[in-house]
Amino acid sequence: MKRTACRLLAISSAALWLVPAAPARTRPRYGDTVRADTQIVVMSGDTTPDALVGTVFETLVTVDDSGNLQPSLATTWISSNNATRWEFTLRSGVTFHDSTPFNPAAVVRCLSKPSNSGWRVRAGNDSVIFEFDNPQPNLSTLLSLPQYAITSLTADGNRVGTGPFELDHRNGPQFVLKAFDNYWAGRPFLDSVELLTSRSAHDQTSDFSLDRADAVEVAPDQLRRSQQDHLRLAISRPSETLFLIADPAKAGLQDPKLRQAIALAIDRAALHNVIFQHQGDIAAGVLPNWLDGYEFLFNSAPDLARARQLRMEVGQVTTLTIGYDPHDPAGRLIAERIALNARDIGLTLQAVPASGDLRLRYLDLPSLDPTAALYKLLDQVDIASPMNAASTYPVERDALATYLAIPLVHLPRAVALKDRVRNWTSSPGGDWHFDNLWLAPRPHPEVRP
Amino acid sequence: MSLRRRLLAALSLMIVATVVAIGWIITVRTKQVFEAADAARTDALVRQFRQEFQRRGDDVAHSIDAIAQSESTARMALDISQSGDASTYVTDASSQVKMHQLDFLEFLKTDGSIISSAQWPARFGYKEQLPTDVTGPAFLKREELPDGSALGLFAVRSIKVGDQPLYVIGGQRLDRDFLASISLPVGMRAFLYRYQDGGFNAQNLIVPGDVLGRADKLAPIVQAAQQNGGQEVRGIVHWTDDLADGESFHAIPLKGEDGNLIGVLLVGSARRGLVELIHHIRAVALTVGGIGILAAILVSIWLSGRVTRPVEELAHAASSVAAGNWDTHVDIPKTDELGQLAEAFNQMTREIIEHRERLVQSERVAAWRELARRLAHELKNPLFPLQITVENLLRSRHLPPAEFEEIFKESTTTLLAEIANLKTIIGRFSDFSKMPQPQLQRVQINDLLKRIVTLHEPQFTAPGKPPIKAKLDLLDIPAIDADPDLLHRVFSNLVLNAMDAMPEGGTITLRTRELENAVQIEIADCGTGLTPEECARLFTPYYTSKQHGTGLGLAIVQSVISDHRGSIAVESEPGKGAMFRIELPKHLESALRAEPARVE
Repeated sequence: MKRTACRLLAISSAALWLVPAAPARTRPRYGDTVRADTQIVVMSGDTTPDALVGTVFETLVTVDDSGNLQPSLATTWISSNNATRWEFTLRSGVTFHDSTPFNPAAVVRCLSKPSNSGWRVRAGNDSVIFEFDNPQPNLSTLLSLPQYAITSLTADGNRVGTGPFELDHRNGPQFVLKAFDNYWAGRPFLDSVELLTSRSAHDQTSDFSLDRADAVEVAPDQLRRSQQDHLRLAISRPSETLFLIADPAKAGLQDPKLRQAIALAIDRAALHNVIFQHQGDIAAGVLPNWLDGYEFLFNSAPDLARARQLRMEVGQVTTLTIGYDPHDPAGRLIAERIALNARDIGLTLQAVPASGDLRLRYLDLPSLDPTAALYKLLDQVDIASPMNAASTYPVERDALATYLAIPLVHLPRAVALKDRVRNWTSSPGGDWHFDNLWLAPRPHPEVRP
Repeated sequence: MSLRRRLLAALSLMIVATVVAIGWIITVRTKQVFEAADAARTDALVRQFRQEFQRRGDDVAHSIDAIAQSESTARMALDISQSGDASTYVTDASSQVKMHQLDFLEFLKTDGSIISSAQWPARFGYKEQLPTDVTGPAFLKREELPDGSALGLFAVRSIKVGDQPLYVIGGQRLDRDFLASISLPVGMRAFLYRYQDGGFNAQNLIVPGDVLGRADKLAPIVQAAQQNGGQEVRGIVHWTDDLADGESFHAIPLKGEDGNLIGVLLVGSARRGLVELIHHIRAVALTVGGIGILAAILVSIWLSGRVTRPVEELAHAASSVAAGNWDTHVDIPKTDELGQLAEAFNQMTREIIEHRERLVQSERVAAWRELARRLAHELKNPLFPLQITVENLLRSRHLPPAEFEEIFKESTTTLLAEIANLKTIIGRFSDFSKMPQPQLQRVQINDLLKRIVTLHEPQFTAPGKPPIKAKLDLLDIPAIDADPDLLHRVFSNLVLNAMDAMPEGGTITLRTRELENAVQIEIADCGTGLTPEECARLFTPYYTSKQHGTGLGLAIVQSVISDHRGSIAVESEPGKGAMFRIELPKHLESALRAEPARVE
């Protein structure tokens, strides 16, 4: 008993000695600039890139890590008349980065775009009202997508948002963001964010090694090696899907049998196990199983016998090309592997570092809401889908049956972080959140006696 | 062809033949030497290639040894043997292949499945045939690639960390860089051809530098090497119509580890040097030949001046002698055989002249003797009756007048008759000495012969004599230039001779026919004939085989025929008659330019 008491006393003393130090490591620190690299390509004319949604621009609603809608610029929302009328009550005390007020009129101006034709949007007292001829049960989910971020056009033609950071300036692919002091949820800890887009994996590795970046992306195929190298990693759930997109306008690929034959010939396990080093999941559906819960119903195993039969039914086919992104280190390997699989069924595919008859495309999960994510992804691969379907399963099943977009692998998004980066948060989909991020001070260089 | 031309042609031909033969021998010999040198160079290159091949093979083997013994490979083998997961090492071959400057590298599991492939990274998990010899030297192998296949020099090693061995197989590509690394003499180059299914395909040809145009020209030699059971094959490829663009190729089959033919090394040697050398030799030979021919002409002319001119002079002199110029003299101031020949010729002409003069002198003496004999004989016969008659007169002057008168009359009659006989004899000799020159006019020989037969017809059928029949066998012949009186005398003489030759009667045949430049007349009898000796002397003046002939008849005949530039010959055998054949020129003027009448 005495020995136990002594031990407790010792532990308590040690704890008391360590108490002053602990807050120093965990207490948020204001100031400093975080430098992050990403491969995301932002076109020069894109004033509201998706990469800045959540940081510079905000939507009316957001989806939390569990896939539930959460208030953002709208605090409440309600539908009526069989989802043909929606009313979103706006958050008060919000201003745009140029200090113009965030109000229903601004929202109506932003959402009344030609792309939203068919929407009737009008302003209420402190709300925005949407009216439709047909029921739109998924409107609140759709409004969580980046494309519906609320922006305001300044006098000099720039787009400004309401997020925790405002765009200070843009230098080509580099976006310099500075903290928005009047952010409705409180000023972020960081003074600024330097986001370098269109950065190749190799350059990101160099930036990270040379301490020119605090956070860089890690390609899935390099993830295992990075883990072996004991890098500090933040890995998301499989939120990026690699698709093989077939262009139906190309000769040969007009026949769905040939597309199906290709899909059945591909050894996805080899891609997942070897090229992507067991990272992520083998993809059978458009959405990962963790998001929709029914992906296991779709088949992903190769069936060479059936593929050969379909290939023979198609008959003579000229040599097809499979394009890959030359900046993707694994792109060529994946394309050549698929070409090798196709060769096993008597089909000649030629891997080319450009756009081909077939092409590899990585698509990020656009939303943590299955419905929104499915519609957005299908839209990105040019597969038409009804936006007002009650269930996503038949929509996804029908989309997969076209074999226009063959899902190959669901991949996680990983970020390598410097030790001084604290409170790094990202969504399950891998979206970065800078609003709660802070940086520890740089360690002083050792001074030799 | 003259001796000079023959000599010129012979000398020219000899020189041309000599030059051509020398040029041909030099060309053939040069070709042999060049081809021997070419073969030697090719053999040297082949040895160099084999050495390079061996060296590269050793390099490859050392590199594969180093990879197999490296720590990273050992870690890989250990990790895979423990975890069974080889996915982490899918790119290891690509990184290692660069470090060791290889073109091919694969790590294989025990079951042959590919862990990592540098040349075809996407083939991970696919199975390869496991090599049998993991310690041997490098070997040739055809490697399948995404864009086809390639030839390579491979080595294989194994590493056994756990229970299961791990195989390392890699090598260097036999490509245009490999070919370019082989240092070749000027004019030589090397190609590689990869055998694949089907016929010759230019895409399978590996050439150093730029793409080879008209690669299909190599198809026969490549296929020959393939069909020849892996034996080396030689051949010549003509890239263009210009023979100088030809190239001699030596095809060396390349076999893989399993002994199968997987490629062929083509070592080419340009033939431009040889062809240009042959052309040069040919040009030199032609130039030398041309100069030789020119020299031959000059030498021939010079030689003919020295050799043929004396011969020609001798020939000309001989012709002159043959034409009757007996005093022809050849002046060749030489001491050699030609000089001796000329001197002998001059000596011969001198002796001929002397002999002729002696012969003429002797013939002249003989003629005079014969003439004196004939004259004595002819004059002796009438003189003897004259002497007897005069002696009878002298003896009868003592007789009574009446008897004397009778004897006187008889004697004077006899004297007058014999004196007349002497006059006749003297007249004949006078006629022979005064033979007139022909008075030419156009004469129809057939008509003349018919008149003569008509003239002598009464004599043919004279009573108390055996009958003689005249047969005319006259063909249509043209008129000729001749003296009709002289010819009448000739033909009459011959007809009378024929009558004299047939005391028992018979047939006299007269024939005419036309020759190319003359007309021919034959007068034949079926009389006693002549001996060869008589034929030989028949035309000699004062020679006769008859009792009362003067021997001048046929001499006059020959003289007339000769004056007409014609010829007369006789054919006869004893007892079978005789035939006189006369040929007279159609046109006497042209005949006058010809040789004088000849006697056969």
